[in-house]
Amino acid sequence: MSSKQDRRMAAIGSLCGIILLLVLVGDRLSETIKLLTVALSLQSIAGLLIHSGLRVSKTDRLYQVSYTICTVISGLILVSIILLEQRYGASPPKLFGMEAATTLLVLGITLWPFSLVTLWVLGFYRIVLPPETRAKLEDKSASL
Amino acid sequence: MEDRTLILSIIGVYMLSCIAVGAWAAMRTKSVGDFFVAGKGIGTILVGFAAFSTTMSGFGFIGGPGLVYKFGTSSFWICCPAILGFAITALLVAKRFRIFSQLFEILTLPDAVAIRYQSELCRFLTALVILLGVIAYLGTNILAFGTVASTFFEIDFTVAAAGGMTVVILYAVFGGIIAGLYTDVIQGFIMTFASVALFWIALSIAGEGSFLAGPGNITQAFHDANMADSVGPWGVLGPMACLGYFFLFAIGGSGQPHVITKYFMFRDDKAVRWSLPLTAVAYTLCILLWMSVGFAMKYLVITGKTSALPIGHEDNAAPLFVLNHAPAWLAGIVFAGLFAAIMSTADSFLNIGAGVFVRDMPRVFLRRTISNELFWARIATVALAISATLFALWARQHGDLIAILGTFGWGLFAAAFVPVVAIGFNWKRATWQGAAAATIVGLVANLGLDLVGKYPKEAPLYKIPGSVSIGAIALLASMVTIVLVSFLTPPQTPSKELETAIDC
Repeated sequence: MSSKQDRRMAAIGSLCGIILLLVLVGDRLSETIKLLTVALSLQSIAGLLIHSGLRVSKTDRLYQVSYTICTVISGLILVSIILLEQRYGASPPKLFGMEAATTLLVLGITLWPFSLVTLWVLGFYRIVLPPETRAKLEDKSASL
Repeated sequence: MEDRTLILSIIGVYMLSCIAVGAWAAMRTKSVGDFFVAGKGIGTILVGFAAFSTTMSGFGFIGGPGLVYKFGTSSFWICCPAILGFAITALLVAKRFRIFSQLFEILTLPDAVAIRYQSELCRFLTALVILLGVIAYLGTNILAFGTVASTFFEIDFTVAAAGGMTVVILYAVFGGIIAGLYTDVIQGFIMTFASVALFWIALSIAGEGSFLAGPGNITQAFHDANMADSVGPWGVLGPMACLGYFFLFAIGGSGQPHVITKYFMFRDDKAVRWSLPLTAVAYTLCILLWMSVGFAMKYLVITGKTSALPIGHEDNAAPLFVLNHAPAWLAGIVFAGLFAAIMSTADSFLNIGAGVFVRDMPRVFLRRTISNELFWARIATVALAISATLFALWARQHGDLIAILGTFGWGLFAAAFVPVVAIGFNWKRATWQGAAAATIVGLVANLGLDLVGKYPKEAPLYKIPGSVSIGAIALLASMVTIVLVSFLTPPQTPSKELETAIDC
């Protein structure tokens, strides 16, 4: 495991293994702990995958931090849904006419990922396809 | 003009426009590269709309409201995480495929996999999974088409399904992916408009004339009818099943070949950059139909304003709602949108399936290319369309919901291709053994868990705890497999071009 990418993938594999175990043989654990662990593991996998696709130049950490913050907030939305449902059950407070946790699902899970879409557009030439990457690619492409 | 005539006229105009686009595209399709990847020369709008309209298939437009009707908000965990899925797919696959297609001659997904892993076995396994998944997914869409058309036109199901496929064949055979892409744009606009309009109508009906009162009335009616679970955050299926869907549809999007092969076709970096927001916005507008119509229909049933759908016919929720509650001109557009959702996905699957027959299988079994690939691509498209229609008619006899088959197709692709593509194309250490093992595990886990969960019918051998979907379990297992096997096998030495493509 020599590179950062190797370590990321090892973490992804381990998290997938943990979720598998929890789902298939984790029935003795409390429901809330199991759900929170699974939800946070899922969100961590998504975060690690996203970071594995970025090629960050050392001078451009802002976008990397922004991606991390967006992923963490996504995880918090999932956790909030779980905790709200556990707390209020079938008689929850209403938000926009829906149960509060359902509103978080509809508006949070659907609309929050647009923060990632925005980061993709804004940082495309700095974090997704930085100038050095494009130059390298053009060179290779021309030599073929 | 009578309502029915008006609706039929609008649908007729839509069908004719698809055929006209096919005829125009046929004149532009001069090589096999044009047929499969549109000459790698398409821009933002085409890729953006194609990625969203092929994702929003009959599964989404017909099966989605059916699932909401049956399982409540559980099915929101399928459509809502898809936006996150598009973002992940763009980061992991769109950029990488753009780079690969710039550096190598790639026309199909198995082409790319064979180059990445320097392995013909990986090409074969990828091609095999595509064929199985294409038959399942095409079957889903044909069933959806038959359901809508036979419900509305009151004609035999078989005639309806065959008629729809005939139109798809007419434009997909001659115009190839160029016809598919341009019809995707038309279809995308129709679907988006239909979705927003129907969302408005559905909530207004549930709100007794007030759009804003709709969600509140639905929530209250479900609570009053002791069906509070349906409108809670997890729906009827429960939290673990929903988190399984979240994983499968957020991460699994980057393994769907009908979507990701579009990323071989980018003309330039600008198209890569702007296609994601276009796809995400259009898809978000489209899921408004998914989320609203099933609930509005169930609300009408609970409050006694309409009769309940028979068990096993929940997929009729969307067509029946449109027929009974939309004005004729809008019903025509919505029905065209329903057909568009189905046809846009079907033409993509026909195209990638034909690619497997014409480009990948000869390379695997004959160790060479075949001559006149364009001609054989057209023949393969027709053969595949007929086979899939026959399969769909057979599957219908077994009473499965359209959406269940759609979930199987999605799960199969996700489990088999997310590790190989989303992980392997971004991780140099991934080996061909890891990729091959992950594909096999994805395939076997999907089929195996499906079989042991259904048979013997009296007492199935095994049920996954918490109703977690088979696809999610298979995806987890295949991701563990690629990581584990890659670390346990010797690293491959990639060529300089390959190293550039993975590291860039």
